[in-house]
Amino acid sequence: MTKTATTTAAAPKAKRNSQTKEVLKRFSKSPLAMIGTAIFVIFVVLAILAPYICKYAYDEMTVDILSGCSLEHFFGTDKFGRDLFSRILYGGRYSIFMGVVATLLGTAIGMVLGAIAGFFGQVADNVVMRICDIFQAIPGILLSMVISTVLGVGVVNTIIALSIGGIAGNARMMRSLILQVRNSDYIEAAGSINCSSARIIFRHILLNTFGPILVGCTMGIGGTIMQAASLSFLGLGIKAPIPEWGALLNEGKDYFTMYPHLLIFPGLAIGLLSLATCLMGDGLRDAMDPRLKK
Amino acid sequence: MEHKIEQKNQEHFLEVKDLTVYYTVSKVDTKAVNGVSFTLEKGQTLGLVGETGAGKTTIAKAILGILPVPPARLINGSIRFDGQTLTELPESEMLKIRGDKIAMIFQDPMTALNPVITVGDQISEVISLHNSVSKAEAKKQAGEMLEMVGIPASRYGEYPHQFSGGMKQRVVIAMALACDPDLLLADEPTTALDVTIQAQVLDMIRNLQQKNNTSMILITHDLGVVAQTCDNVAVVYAGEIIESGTKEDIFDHPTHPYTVGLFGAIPKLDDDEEWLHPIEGLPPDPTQLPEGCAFSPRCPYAGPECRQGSIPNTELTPGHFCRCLKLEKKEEQ
Amino acid sequence: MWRYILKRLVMMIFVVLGVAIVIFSIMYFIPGNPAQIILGSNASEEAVQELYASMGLDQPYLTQLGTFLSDTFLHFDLGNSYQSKIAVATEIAERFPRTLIIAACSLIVTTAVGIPLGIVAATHQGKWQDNVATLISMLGLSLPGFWLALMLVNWLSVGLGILPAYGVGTWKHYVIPIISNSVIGIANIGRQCRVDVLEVIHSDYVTTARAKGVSNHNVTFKHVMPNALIPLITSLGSVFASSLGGTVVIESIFVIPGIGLYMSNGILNLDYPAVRGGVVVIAIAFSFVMLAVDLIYAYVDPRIKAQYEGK
Repeated sequence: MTKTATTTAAAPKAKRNSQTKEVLKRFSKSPLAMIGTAIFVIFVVLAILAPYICKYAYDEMTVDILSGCSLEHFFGTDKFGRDLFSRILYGGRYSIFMGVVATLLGTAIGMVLGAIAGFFGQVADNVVMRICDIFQAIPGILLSMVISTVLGVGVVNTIIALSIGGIAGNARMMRSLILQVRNSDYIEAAGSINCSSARIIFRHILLNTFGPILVGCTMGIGGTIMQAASLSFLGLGIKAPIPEWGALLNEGKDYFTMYPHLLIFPGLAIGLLSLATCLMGDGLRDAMDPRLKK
Repeated sequence: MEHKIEQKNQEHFLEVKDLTVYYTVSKVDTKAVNGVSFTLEKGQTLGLVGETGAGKTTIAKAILGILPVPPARLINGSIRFDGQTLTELPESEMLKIRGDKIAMIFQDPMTALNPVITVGDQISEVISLHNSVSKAEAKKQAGEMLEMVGIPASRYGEYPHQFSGGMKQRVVIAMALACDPDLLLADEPTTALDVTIQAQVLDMIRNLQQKNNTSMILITHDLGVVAQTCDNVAVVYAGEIIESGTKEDIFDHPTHPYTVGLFGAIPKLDDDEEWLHPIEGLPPDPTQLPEGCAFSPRCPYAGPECRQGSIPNTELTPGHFCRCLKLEKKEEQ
Repeated sequence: MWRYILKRLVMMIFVVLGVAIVIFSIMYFIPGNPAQIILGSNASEEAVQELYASMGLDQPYLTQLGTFLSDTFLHFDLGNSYQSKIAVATEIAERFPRTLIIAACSLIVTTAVGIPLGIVAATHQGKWQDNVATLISMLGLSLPGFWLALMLVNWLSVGLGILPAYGVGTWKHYVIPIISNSVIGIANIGRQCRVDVLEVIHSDYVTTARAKGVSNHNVTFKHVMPNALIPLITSLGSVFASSLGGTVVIESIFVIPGIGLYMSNGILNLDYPAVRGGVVVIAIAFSFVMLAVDLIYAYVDPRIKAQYEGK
């Protein structure tokens, strides 16, 4: 009896490892996914190593005011003569960190709420879903704006403001995934071979919702970075002198007709990073579901 | 006998020659159909028998010219039908033939109907496509078709989700027969249905076919269906016809070890045997077909000569062909 | 069907009520003092206190909430703006059409560009058209809308001088805002449309249609599109909702006096009635769009319709 128990416990584990390996193998074989990963990794490394790469500190003022691109200043300088290249690299620390953490936080809270709604059904489901209805009826950027006015500027406050905007959508997604998996034949099959409910919940249901959530989370990072940038751009969120990319755009917008480089480079940084997370998300989705492959 | 000789001089109604179709996905060729040749005369029914994945449906889709290209690729072969070479016709000509002269009944009625178009409109669409009739006339004819397959014409405006599986298959059949096709390709028309409905649907197809003298290719893995319906039988294995002949040839004198095995796998009511005799092993991977005879890895008689070169098609008795090198040895046994 | 609509309308009242409570409660915790902002930094302590009390802001939370809810939902009075002193309802009525123009036109542009993009990509799966469409979608998804707006201004207004850079007046003023507000929607719809069409193209009933002799063109438009468009309706609903929200940023950039600008100014100036009123109106608009989406859904998909009628 004990022997059969251990063998059944070991079998899915081995399978899961090989499944993860298989997904990673397919992921690494997709050129677009690898390009995305490469861009993302380069951005992270550049942001971390910024002090060793940049000639100037992000707040170091030079005499070259509003100069264009040159070998000295790759991306030119701003109105205080600060080197834009250094500012973008340092700013990446804030933008990437806030994007990743706020997305994870929003996803995690959304998952818990969605799981509660999906598993317990009835009253819990109704309560959670109606709250989601309410939050989804308020435009996300507006909600983040109001919350960040309440909390004030700053990295942590902005992360909170951004993550609240993502909760409702994630909860809804998690709930529908759980309902979908719950009603599928293989859960019935698991029940018929006497799997315990805890085992069904963790091994079968949660594990099968993990993939789509991970894909959504990866793709969401780019969107969150953009939301953060919009907040800072509107004067909320992160304020100067912190070189968060949205704050850079906010500073640059008054000069951009004469000095477009002040907008082009921070915008391209946001765009490239979002592109990277999109490519990674797409690659992950294709790797997890080989049927969708071209 | 005289009748047969006379036909041989004439052109066949349908002649498929050396048909070869591969599906290519990520540069890997799946060899679905490998040099299939057969003929079919007017008003006759040919049964294509074989396991799932043997390439039967691909043959039918190739005749109709609706292979999904890509990934499908027509590597070789010609299809002559009623004096025309279908494989050389431009798409615009094929459009006129599809649904009109050649029609197809699909395997799964649950998915074969468009969920957002009423069943009546789906039938009248094919009528208006191939006949120059007014919309009202097409509708009237579609209603008649429904009646013919045993569905009241009043249900014209209903959607597929309002029908049961058997009813849907009747709609699919009505659609296929709406333009009195000369050739009907029936791809496992009863597989997805309940056993009781199967007999009804089969009867209906047969009656309608006899009424219009329609030729039919019946694709199935059910030998019982073949026995009820077909004149000639071709046994397909791994994309090749390994044995073909009249129904009597195949049922009374199965020769190829695979055909013999197929019959061995059917339970017999009058025998007192306790065990079925399944064929050992599995069909080969169509991306890596074995050299020589595709059945050789599973064949109890196979020798080294079976695993190389191409296997000739031997005519045992007039019209009864078999692709096997071990014919004599088996007869000795 | 009618019972379903009625049920949805009742639910809508609760959602809007919920939105009102949520936005009121969040704004209640904003640390600033609106009275101080109205009177300016030079005003005396007493004057600020007096105004604060006369605005009812010294009342307890529940009293204030009760007053706000009864004013809004029983007397249909959204109050007066702290800044302009004009009734919020009047201001919104004047501004809402501009926002609606941007959101509705963005929806039209998104549909007109995104769906063909998806169809071309799906019907040419794996060929260069597919790759180009995918690239366009990827770019649209990655580039921030407000950044694109500024780039377009720099190119079309400052550089070529063919379109005005900000403000309202002629239709030309709306061109850049609408384009920049549509980009992300085009990308999303294009991607989704591609997936939906591909799924339908490989379905059995499309093979059935081809077997009937229906031409490729008619297969796409008569058999594939109606089925592929059904899931897109929901997405288009969300696109409309998000472009309604997107106007907050777009209107700030182009100084378009719609409710997006009204609300973002309201937030910066702690103009509570303006923000609350704007949010409630947006929530109502959003709820109606979602109801419309569901009704269209039922109209085009007989299976869904049967479900509603069965209830």
